[in-house]
Amino acid sequence: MERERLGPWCSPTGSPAPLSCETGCGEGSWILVYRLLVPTQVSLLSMEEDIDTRKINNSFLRDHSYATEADIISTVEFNHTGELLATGDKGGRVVIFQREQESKNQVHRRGEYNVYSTFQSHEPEFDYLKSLEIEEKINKIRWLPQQNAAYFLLSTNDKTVKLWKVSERDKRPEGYNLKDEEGRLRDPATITTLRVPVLRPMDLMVEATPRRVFANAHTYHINSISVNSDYETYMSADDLRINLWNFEITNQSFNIVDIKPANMEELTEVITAAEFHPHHCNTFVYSSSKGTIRLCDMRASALCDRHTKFFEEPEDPSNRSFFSEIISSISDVKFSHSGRYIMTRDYLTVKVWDLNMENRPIETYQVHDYLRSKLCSLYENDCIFDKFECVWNGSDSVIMTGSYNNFFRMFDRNTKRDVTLEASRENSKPRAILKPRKVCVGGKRRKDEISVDSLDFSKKILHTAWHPSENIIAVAATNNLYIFQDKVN
Amino acid sequence: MLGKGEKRKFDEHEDGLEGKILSPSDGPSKVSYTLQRQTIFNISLMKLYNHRPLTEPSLQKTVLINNMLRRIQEELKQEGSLRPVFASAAAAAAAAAASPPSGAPGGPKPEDPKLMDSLPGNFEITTSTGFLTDLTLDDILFADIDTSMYDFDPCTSASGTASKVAPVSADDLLKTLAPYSSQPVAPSQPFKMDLTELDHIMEVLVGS
Repeated sequence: MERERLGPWCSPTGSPAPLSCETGCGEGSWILVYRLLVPTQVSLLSMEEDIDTRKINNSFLRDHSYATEADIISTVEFNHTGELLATGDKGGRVVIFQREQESKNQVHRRGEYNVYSTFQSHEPEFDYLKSLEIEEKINKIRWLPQQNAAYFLLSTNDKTVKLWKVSERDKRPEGYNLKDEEGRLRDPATITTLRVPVLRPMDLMVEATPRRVFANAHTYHINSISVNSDYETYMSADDLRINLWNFEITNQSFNIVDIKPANMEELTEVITAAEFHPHHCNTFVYSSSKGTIRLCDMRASALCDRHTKFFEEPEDPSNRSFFSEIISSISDVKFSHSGRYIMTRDYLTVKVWDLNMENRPIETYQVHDYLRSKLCSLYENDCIFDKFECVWNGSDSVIMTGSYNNFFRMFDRNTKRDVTLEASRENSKPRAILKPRKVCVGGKRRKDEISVDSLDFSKKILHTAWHPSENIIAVAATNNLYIFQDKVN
Repeated sequence: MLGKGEKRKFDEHEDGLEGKILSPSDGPSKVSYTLQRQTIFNISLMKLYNHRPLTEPSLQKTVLINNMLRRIQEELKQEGSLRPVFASAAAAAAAAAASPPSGAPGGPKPEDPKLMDSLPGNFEITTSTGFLTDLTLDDILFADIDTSMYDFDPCTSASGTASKVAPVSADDLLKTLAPYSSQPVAPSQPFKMDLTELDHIMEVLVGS
């Protein structure tokens, strides 16, 4: 077997080499566990009649040949244990999947995610002052750590953040005195005896209720929310401001960053993402459209306009172009689980920064450098403004981000190997091993390679998530959710 | 999907529109650089002014496009002598690249001078000052424009020629390309064209 036909992540003998990680899964090949079609609005109506929502998941394997725009997934997030996976879509809905419990009878079913709850989080609104619609699209979902039997998550659209409580109900009170079994009121004159209502088991029902609504605090579009490690506060960031909230208080928020200039004509830079440090509740970072990251300490002053650290890489003069600024705009920033590093995603690269070194990143990974010569076209068709996210794996040894043509990329920070995989219906049968993909940049195109000009720029993977402790990933491709896991022997 | 609606580059150099940016001081590549800059300028203007979204447009996108336009404007200023022919041809090229009448009804035409004075609405500007308030630049950009050829507005009276909504003819193309020849052309002179350049252009047109 010719050595050069193997992807860079394979060992010379031809067997797949493991991506190094300490979670113990070993093998480095990825298999499709589950491809889920997020339910369309139509199927949602019939779903409400089913009491047991777990049965519904089978219906999701129906092949919907159409996809409404409302079904486009706009955010994906595992909770802190990885038991739950939440998706938000353009139609303002949140769908939560729960991992199948381990069972002796069906060992192979471990790792499958089934629909647990679906609810409408946000509705479209109309801003009468500006005569503009406010989209119901869910921009971000963030889970709170679990503190009791119920699950809590924050979901946000452009303007309003909501705290949702998702809880199970498997008992129902029976034997009311004033109501009969169907709930109709009984005539008090007919009641001759009293009884104590008892709780009887019922089919499991999962309900989602909005517990808090944090509204009217953002003039501009919210791009990020981040739960603080104190579990009492969280922040929401829009293009020009960042606000700090207490979960219990909805009618007040503290403004901690404000970069709005007095004269809007002088505006040249906006906030693109923000996140709290995973352990230090006083520290957070925010990124900008000019490719800079600022780390702020809330103990320094009430308004954190002056940063504690400023991360910026000097521009490479050989790569200068008209589009240098636009491609340097950071679309996502994420702390590593350890809190020692931050990862940023700009249009062509992913960078890892050490918090102790501000003048340049410690690692830079090229996601799709072959697009560098196409920037003018990508500017014209607006693709250059696409906001790709990036994620760490549980041990911070592998990072992942999306690209076009339903490709997504993984970079192993230790072995420096990378792989390109594809999330598509045509190439994935359940439990089939994903084949690495390669983009041919010029010259002779080999078999199985795809040329840059054949890439489909409408198929973009912007949102991905990695299980907090295992090698399970969720990849959102338009209206499809793919769940892949590392092949375990 | 790439390059949809965009004219193929005619530049003889390998890296034309899409290639690496060369510095403006490179002799023979100055044309290519200038063409690229102008194209990006036009695209940026169109993005800002032809778009009528139902929801608020992205502030980040608007800021980045504005920065792009500002930078190009700065460069043009720094280059000092702005040739009026270059500028008017540029405006004509902008009009030629404008969307067909079915798009953006009521949307402003790029050559509308008033338009250039104001930033997009979501910048909350109440005055008319915008980034293109430099008076000399305005004068130069919009002087001597005959836009009757490119008047795509279906509401105007039928005073224009039959080619009102027809695609730009090859002649018009040649006229707009004239300033990109190596010889500087004064505004009052008729457009001159190198024979070799003409051949090359015809080759491109026939070939595409």
